[in-house]
Amino acid sequence: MLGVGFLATMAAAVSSFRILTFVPGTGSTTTTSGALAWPKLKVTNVKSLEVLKPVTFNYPLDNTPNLLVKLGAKAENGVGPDGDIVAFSDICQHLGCFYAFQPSGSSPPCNAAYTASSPVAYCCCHGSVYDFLHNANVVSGPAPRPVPRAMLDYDDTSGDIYVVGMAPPNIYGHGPPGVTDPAQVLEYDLQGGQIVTEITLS
Amino acid sequence: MDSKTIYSRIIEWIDSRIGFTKTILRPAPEHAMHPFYWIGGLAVIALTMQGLTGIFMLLYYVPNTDQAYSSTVYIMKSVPLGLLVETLHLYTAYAMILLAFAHMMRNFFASVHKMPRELMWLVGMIMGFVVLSFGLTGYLLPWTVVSKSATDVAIGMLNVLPMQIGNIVKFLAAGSGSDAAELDRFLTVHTVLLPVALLSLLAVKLYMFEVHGSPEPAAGVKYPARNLPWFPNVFLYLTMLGAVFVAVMLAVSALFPLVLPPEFSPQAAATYVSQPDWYFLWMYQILKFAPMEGSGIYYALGGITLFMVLLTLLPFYDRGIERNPASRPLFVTIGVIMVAELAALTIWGYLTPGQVIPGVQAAVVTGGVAVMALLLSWIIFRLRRRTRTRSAGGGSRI
Amino acid sequence: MITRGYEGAGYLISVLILCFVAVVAAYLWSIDLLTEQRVFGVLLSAVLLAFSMLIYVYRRPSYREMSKLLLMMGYLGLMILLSLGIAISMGYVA
Repeated sequence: MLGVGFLATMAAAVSSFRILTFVPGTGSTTTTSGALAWPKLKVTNVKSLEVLKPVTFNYPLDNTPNLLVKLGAKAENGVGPDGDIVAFSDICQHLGCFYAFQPSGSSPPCNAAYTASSPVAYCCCHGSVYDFLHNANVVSGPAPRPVPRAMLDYDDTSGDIYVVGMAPPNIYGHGPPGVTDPAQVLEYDLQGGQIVTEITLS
Repeated sequence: MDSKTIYSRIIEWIDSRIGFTKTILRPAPEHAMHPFYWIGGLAVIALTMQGLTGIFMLLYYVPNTDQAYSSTVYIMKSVPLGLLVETLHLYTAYAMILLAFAHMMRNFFASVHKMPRELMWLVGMIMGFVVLSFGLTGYLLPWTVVSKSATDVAIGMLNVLPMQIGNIVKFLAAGSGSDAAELDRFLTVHTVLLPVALLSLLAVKLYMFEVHGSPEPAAGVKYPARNLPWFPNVFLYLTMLGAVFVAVMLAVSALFPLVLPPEFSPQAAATYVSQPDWYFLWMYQILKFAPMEGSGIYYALGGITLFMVLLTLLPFYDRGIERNPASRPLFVTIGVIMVAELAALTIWGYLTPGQVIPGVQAAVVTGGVAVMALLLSWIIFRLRRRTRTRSAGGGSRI
Repeated sequence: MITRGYEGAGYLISVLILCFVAVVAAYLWSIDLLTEQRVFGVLLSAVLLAFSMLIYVYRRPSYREMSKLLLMMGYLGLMILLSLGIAISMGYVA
């Protein structure tokens, strides 16, 4: 009797894992990346951008801000008529703090001892520095990898800039750190927040 | 029986129906009339204060991302006694964490966790984790620049957990992950889930306390302890301690009112060095050591978890029946090292915001503090006279 | 009271503390709770400290057995809190 009861309880416990499908991500067999796609949204127009003045926009989720900035010098993967417009996730890959853009020659408010020698991003939490001219490569600091690039599309005729996706690695805080497979990056980056349907700049 | 005042008759009527003087309000031995025996009681008084001030603020606080900060400011500026209540809530939270820690260390050094009180230690440790969770969830609610970024960093670390567990924990902690869901979740956890958990655990612990009673002093008693009735002796003593505690909290809150950092926005957050509140600074400092960067974070978080698990399971490997600290050199030394390291890491974390600590410096400082604590402990043991006592948690009713 | 001598000093202390509490509590009823929150906090703290001193005096069987150190600390605390309360209400403390 006791044995039967024990086996019944174990069976119930194992099958109860199915009810965890209400928790996003646990019923992972049901999600297929074929059903997910990057939203393609218009960010801004090249005419409203000033050189070295970044704008912030949330993409692809409402809690994943990105920095878009016209650098004034040709950048890797830069779009626009001068190939100098880039956008990267504003969440540092070290421990998830928000960082700010520092034009050449400026110092971040939290560390007057550091002066940027080229257009970079400086994270005030622990001093990670990303080089915006070269795909946000880590120049110094504890960040283990570059921040993901927001893939931009430029329309020559109208001058509009569209964001069409996020390049690997995945945004910090959305999935395990340092995922490089694009299909997995798509899956993780779209989890953990509300997918935005239109871009508002701030 | 001869002088039946109306007062004693009322008490007797109630007591014969509820029975509290015969069950839970047992007499206390005379040696228990010392503040060290009631640190946990002060923590409960702090908890009550937190409940009252928290309910007060809950009447005005709005838990959505646009109004969280402005409703907090409203309480501070436009509600009578609002600033006092809010500051009191913050400082009493700090006091509760300090009292819980002092309670734990006092019980550790006085060997109260030994037989028959092992389960009290276990329940107490879980209560300690609940109290720290209170701090974590409450810190986010004002939605300031510092608190939101620090909480984001903390939630981001949940990604270190293996996939399924991480998803469940993140779902419980932050819902779908958007800011609005996170704030809503944190408020529910802070005001409903955690209080229910803490009060249930407190009930269990108080019941066990009533069964076992106050422990005898670790050095043993020289005379049979005289038992004082709960009312009026213990009641008055506790009221006196509680009144002094509340007076101190009120005075500090009135003299150093709360100043709120600016409201959160990603741009504003980028200019601040986000730090957790002081009671997590020791964890933060460990995470800032250079060897813990990148994949080393697994070692750091795993190490911290291991430390907490070992501390929780203390009564199961500290099995000696010696209660006198003078006769427990190993564990007393471990305790002294632990307190010294926690204090050193906290102060060091406060002094080095945002700086990554090179591995050599980290090893030298933590090792140095441990060696100094070891030395101190060794010196004290050489100076003290050893007295051997064989009382293993006396005073228990069962 | 004075004729009871050293032993009865406990009663004198209790009466003085009660007078202090009555005066401060009456003042606390009258002030505006929005603009004078800090004064309220400091003076309420003084009232609670006085209350705890009252309990202490009540618990001890006689004046001889009271710790003079604790009483002194209590009086000092009351004096400091009262002065701080007056200073804040007059605008001297930031």
